[in-house]
Formats: sequence, structure tokens, C-alpha cells
Amino acid sequence: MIAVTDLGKSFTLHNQSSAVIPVLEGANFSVAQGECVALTGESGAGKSTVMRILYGNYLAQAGRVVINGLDITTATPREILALRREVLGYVSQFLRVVPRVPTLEVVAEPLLSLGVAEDVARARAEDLLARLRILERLWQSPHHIFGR
Amino acid sequence: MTPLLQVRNIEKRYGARIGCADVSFDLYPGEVLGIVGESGSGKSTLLNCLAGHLAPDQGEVIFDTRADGPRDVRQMPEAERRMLSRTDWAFVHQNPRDGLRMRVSAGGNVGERLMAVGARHYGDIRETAGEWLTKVEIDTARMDDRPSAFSGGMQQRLQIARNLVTGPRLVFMDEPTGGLDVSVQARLLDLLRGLVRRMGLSAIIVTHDLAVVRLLADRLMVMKSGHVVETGLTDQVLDDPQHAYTQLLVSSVLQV
Repeated sequence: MIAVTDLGKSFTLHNQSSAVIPVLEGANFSVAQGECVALTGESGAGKSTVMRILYGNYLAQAGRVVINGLDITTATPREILALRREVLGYVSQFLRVVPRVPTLEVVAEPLLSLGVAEDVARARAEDLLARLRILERLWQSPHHIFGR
Repeated sequence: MTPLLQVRNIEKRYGARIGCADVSFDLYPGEVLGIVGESGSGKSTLLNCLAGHLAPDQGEVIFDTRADGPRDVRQMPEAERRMLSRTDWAFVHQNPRDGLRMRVSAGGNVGERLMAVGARHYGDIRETAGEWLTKVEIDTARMDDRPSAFSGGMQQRLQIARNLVTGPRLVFMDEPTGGLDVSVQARLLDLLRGLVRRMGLSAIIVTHDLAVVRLLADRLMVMKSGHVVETGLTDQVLDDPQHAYTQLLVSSVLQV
């Protein structure tokens, strides 16, 4: 499902005398369908960087990352967007949501973008929010959900 | 899939100065492209060349027309191009006064676009205009007021209603949130985002505000001195900018 080969990543800070910060080098691993793999390591080891590259959020400087047959290191933005819509999910440490958009809509949106009918998407979102024990009176507002 | 818009090597000069040069990209149906850069980077010049408001010195703007498929807009007769800009295209100006008729009622501003594409039944036109005013959160009780009596945010929402009422396939937006105060901007962005998603709009948005493209655009083009210096997925360009100028742009945003 996921094949990572010789992955390398560095940041070039052009406005700080072009300092190059190496982050990853020669990373190799693969994940089969149905497998659950944990990336562990101390802070600064590059765990989040790997995750961001897998999601297409960071560019890789070297190597290949093939997810579901698509090499995301060379894929076009459209291909990555399609992969995110249909294949990838991403649970971030920080949820970046649009302010003022109700929680229920935030949760329903990925289904809507797949073309699922509005009532079906909302029902599914309600079901998931209920299962995750998010109080129903918070569904209409994102403001009151904090990091707990 | 055929791109809705194919742009090839667009160049526009003002005498010896470069407005924009070597700009090429494809826009697919349902895609929102953000063009960012500082004032004078050529982004508005480019948008105006694409929308037919300015004649580029070079290049092609190929639009996938309903009737005949992909055609170079620049080669079309003027009448045909004007028809296109009334029916399939929309242009949201930074200043609502440039996109509205200030002496015509709010309902009239929306209805006029409908009449331009052949609507004739007064009751139907008024009803559709009313629906659109509601969609952009303008009370239908204000339908017969002139936009000059509206606040800046309302004027901008009215301009959006006027532009979207005919169901355009491509929307050009030039700093749509530019002249508005922050809370009004935020509401307008929510509204735009909702409309873009629900109508599956294809859009090109020019802005210097990175928050606007973060919310609305699927992908980005960064311009500097008339040239495109970086392109990519919106969150990738903003979170892992590669070009020196983009890094500067991203790091210059004030964090609240």
C-alpha cells in the first residue's frame, strides 16, 4: 500500500544565508494493506516530516514514495488531491478548520467532496460525532471544542 | 479530462517593462487556482489578460467552450468574447463599484445578468434574484435598495450574487476580500468557500492574502516581477516553500 524508498528531505532557508537543514536521509519502509505501523522516535527525529511527505504536504528532495500506485514525489497537485479525497486520511496534532464553520459541516465535508448526498453525509457525520462522544450541542459550533 | 482553461506563454509588456511573462498553466473543471505575490508582481495584469480585459502581447488563452470545445479566446470575434464573459465567465472585482451598477437596485443588479442571457419573465427574474440575495446573506427586504446604500461587505456579496446567478463555469476574482475589514472578510470567505464547494466552481483568485488562498485554493502560483517563481498544492507551497521569495512571503505573515 505504501512503499518508501531512499527518502531524503532537507530544508533550504534561502533567507538565512541559504542554510541547509538535513532532516531525513535514506529512509526505507513499506506498509501493507491492513497493517498498522507506528513511527516512533525522539522529538526532532523526523517523524512528522515523514508523515507530511506521505500526505504530499512537504516535498521530498530524494527517493520515492508510492501510495496506492502513485509516486507522490512526482505527482501533480490534482493527483495528490484525488489521493487525499479517495485514499488518504490525515489526523493532525492540530486541526486546521475554517473558523465559524460548524463542526458537523467540517466532519461532513470530505464525503460531500466525494459527491455523497448532503443528508447522507450529515447523517454519517452525526453518527461519528456521537460515537466520539462530542456533545450534541457543540455540533453547530467549532469554537467550543478545545483539545480535550 | 479536458482542461477548462489552458494558458500558454502569456506575456504582457508595458513598453519596456514586463507586466507578466512566460505564464503557462492548465485549470481543470472544479479546480480553484490561487495567484499570490506582492503588489506589482504582475498577478492582476495576468488575470486581466486571461479575462480579456487586457490584450496580451503573446500567448494563448484556450477555453473549453460549450459549443465547440477548446478555442483560443484571443482569436474570437469581440462579440463572441463578450457573450462568453456574460454567460460562462464571471469577474469579481476588488472594488464592488467596478462590478456593480450603483444606480440600479440590488435586485436589478442580479436580474440584469439573467436578462443578459435571455430571461424575460419578470416574476421569475425577481424570484431568482431574491434567492441569490438570500444565498449571499442579504435580506430580501433590501432588494429594491440601491447598492450605494449598502455597506462595503454587502456590496461585495451583491457583486458575487450578480456574478454567480447565471451559473458561470469560470470565475475570475481580483482581491475579492481586499477592501473589507477583518470580520467582514472572514464571513465573505466562509460564504465564498461554501459556494465554491457547492457549485463545483472553477476559479482563479488573485490575492496578496495567503489566508484567503489557504481557505479557497486547491493550488497556488507564486508570482514575482512578472514571472511565476513557484507552483504547487496550496498547503505544500505554504508549509514547505521552496523559492526564496515564497519563503519570504510566508514568513512575513503576521501570526495572531
